[in-house]
Amino acid sequence: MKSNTLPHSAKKIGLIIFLTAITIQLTAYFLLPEDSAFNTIQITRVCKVAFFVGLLIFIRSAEKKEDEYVQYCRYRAYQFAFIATIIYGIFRTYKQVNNSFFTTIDMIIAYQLLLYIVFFHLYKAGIANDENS
Amino acid sequence: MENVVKKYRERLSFTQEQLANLTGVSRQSIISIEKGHYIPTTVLALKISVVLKVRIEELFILNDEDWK
Repeated sequence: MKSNTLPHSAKKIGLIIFLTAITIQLTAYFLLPEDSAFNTIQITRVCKVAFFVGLLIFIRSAEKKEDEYVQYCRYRAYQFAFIATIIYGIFRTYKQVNNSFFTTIDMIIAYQLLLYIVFFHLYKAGIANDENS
Repeated sequence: MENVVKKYRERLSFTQEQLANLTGVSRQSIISIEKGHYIPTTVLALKISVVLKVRIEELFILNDEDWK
């Protein structure tokens, strides 16, 4: 079974991009003054894009041994994250305070990506498997 | 579906790691197959049967629920 994943080495690159983005954002938010050069809208946007790109590279990178079981876990995690995100989206829509049609899309994307990563590793480790699957 | 991969693997004194290497998958795959958490594809099932020198239908057994 062939899958179009990035090479395993890309996983580290994705992780570095993700961690760098989140570190800059957290440092700017909690430690630096509001008028700091890191607290601009442009920096926030770049960090947000880097956050998603890093996560995307991380989840699309092959495991050390990318076999059919890993791909099976991948599909199950995608499925779970997809359904959970729809439920989360419905919940956010119901709970939203302003009258805009769309809720915060980046929160929903981040939720889906992070949920996928958690459940992929749970399935892969055999923790979240049920007996009849 | 039930399987007796573990029984035949132990009969040949293979470790899960060895069986995984011989069939080209990870050890976690073999663990999941033996526990019944994962049903392998036909290709992997055939590879396992060749390595364990046993017919595939002796290795993987359909139960009543599979016919419903």
